[in-house]
Parts: sequence; structure tokens; C-alpha cells
Amino acid sequence: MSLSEIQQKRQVIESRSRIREIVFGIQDGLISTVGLLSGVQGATENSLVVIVTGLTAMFSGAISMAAGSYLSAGAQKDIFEKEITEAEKMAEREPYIAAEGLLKALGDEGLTKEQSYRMVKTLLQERNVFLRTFREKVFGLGSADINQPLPAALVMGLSFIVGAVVPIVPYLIMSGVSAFYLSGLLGGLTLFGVGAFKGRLAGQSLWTAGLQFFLVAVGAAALGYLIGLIVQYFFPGVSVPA
Amino acid sequence: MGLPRVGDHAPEFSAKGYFQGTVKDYSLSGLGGKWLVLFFYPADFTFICPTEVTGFSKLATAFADESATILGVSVDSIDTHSSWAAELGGLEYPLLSDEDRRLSQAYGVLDEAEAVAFRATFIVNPAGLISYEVVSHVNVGRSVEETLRVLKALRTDRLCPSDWHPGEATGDVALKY
Repeated sequence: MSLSEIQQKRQVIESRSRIREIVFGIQDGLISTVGLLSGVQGATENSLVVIVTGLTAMFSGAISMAAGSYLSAGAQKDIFEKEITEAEKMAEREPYIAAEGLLKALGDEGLTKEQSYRMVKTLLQERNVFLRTFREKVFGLGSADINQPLPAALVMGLSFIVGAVVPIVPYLIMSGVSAFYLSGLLGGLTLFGVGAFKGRLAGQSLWTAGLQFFLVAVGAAALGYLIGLIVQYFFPGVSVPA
Repeated sequence: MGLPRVGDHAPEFSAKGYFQGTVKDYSLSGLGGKWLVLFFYPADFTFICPTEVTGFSKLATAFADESATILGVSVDSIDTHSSWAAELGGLEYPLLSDEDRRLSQAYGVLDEAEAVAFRATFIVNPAGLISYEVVSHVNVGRSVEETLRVLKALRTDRLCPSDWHPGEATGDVALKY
């Protein structure tokens, strides 16, 4: 491994941290659209209504999810930055105690007292390097750039659209119950594919990772369906308006 | 074990110590009736302790002039003491290794939670009785000069007024005690 490979690796790690938004977006876009379309399809035979409803839900859902992702990543970033500032202020106010904290952290990782001491002594000569190492090692506040709200929002929105388009496509080429089944089938396959993709990035078995995604998502959908049945059982008069 | 009181016999001890390249056993009874300044500190290779460890070294001659032996104690090993003394540019008194914490326990200064000694200083007179003791919070370094001042005051064997300094009058009832 060369030095440039190490630098590239860091970029890869940062970009792969977006997997959270990709999985979340695709899964949510897919499941919510499958659920919505099957409901609408049951209520109307008109494919155009199904498609327009699906597309509307897709765009509004994507925007909402992107906004939510922007706000949540921003909130996390703000709090993270505040913690970093506080950790650095603390280290500046009590440099010796900060140095002791770093000594202990390095000792806990397996260095001898003498090795830790020499390392901290060297770090203390460069204020910024010391502060960064202190907050990373003592408080676990890393500096990898994974909390960017705007890219997070874009990835989330696009992933939602990708997930939502899958169950809509069958209604563009066919109608009725066959479109409904194909929609469900494509949805399941896509979930499996996303899981396998994650498995590839994480160096896991593609089948296991794919199956895990499939089962969790389908299990969640089945649970929702079950709750619907229970509600119908206890409130027999309630039905979805046509 | 609790902190021994002033006037109590100082607990006997025997521990290995490092002094300028030599390792040997040090004991209270082996001091030959000299005054003893026994000071405990938490650990080698930290950024808070060195000032007092080197402080005692800088004033070692002044303590020797008072016929006193200085012994520093921490829970570190002899090897660590050796490296630490070298790191500090050499020390003029021995560092005792209290790896089994027996010495710190005997003097009632073991911080059980951290398994290191508190910052504690004892002055033991030639008869083996504790004449002075002070324990401070780990954040506050002790005054080496104050330890020397107290040693000198004790050695006058007279009443010394508040804030007495060597050379000033002792034993006079007109002085403020």
C-alpha cells in the first residue's frame, strides 16, 4: 500500500459513510410506494391515477426525506462541532490535565507510560496537532468529514426516488393485479440487491446481506399489514374510503 | 490503613529504590538516625508531577545540610523510575518503587480508586517519629521550600512562630505563635 492509496482510502471511507442515506432512502421510498400503490390500485382500476399518485408521493417523499436528512445531519454536525470546541477549550484551559487524559488514553491502547509520555510531549509542541489528537483519542471526536448536511440531503432524496421508481414502473407497462404483483416482486428484488451491494462494500457475504435486507423490510411491511388486520378485527366498521 | 498521626512511630518499610544507576533496598531503620523527608507522588511520566520531583532534587543539598534524607515514592517499577530520572536529567535522591502498594498503604496515602499514591509528604525525626505530614489534592503541587522550612523549624527543637523563617528568633514568648 502506498501513501496515496492511504489518502484515497480516507476519501473512500468518507464517501461510503453515505451508505446510511442510500439504504434509508431506497428502503423508505420503496416500501412506502409499494404500500401506497397497492392501496390505490385496490381502490381504483385506473392505472393513470395509480401512476400520478405514485409520482406525487415519490417527489413529495423525496423532498421531505431530503429536508429531514439535511436538518438531522446539520443538527448532528452542530452538536459535534460544539463538542469539539468545548473539548478544545478544556484542553487550552487545563493543558496539563488534557495531557494526562491523553496519556491515559494512549496507555489504555497498550503503550507503556514512557512511550505515551514521549508521544504526548512531542504532540504538545504543536498546539493544533495536540488538540486534534486529544479530542480524537480522549473524547472519540473524530475529524472524518461525514456530517455534511447538503450531500446527505441530496443522496437521501435521490435514493428515495430510486427506491420509489421501482414499484411505479410496472404500472407504466401493465395494469391491474399483474402490475401489483410485479411491483411487489421488483421491490423485493431491489431490497435484496441493496443488501447485497452493502454486503459487497462491507466485505460480507452477498447472499446473507441481501437476505437480511429483504427479510427486515418485508418483515416490517408484514407487521404493518398485521396491525391493519388487528385494527379491522377490533373496529369492524372502519374501512378505507374508496 | 489510616494516615498515621504526628507523634506516631513512622511505619517501618523496606523497598527497592533507584538512585543514579544503582538499585538497592531502602528501609526506615537503615537510615541511621537521620531525618527523613518521605514524599509520595502519583506516577512517573506525567506532566504534573515533574515540578516537585525536580524541586526536591534542586534543593537536595539544602536538605542534606539539615542532615535529612529525601526519599520519593510512587507505584512505578524500578525500570520506570530509572527512565524517568534520566528523562528529568538525573535526580539527587532515590526513588522508591512501591509496585505492591504496601508502602503507600502503610502510610495511609493510597488512592484506592486510582491505585496510586496521593501527594503526601512526611517528615520523620531521627527517633523514627512522624513530626510533620501533609496530603494535598492531586491537582496541587506541594511546596518544596515549605517542606525545607518546616524541617529547619523542627530541627531548632524550639517553639517557632507562625511563618517562622530560618535566622529569625525562636522560643520567645513575645513572639506570636
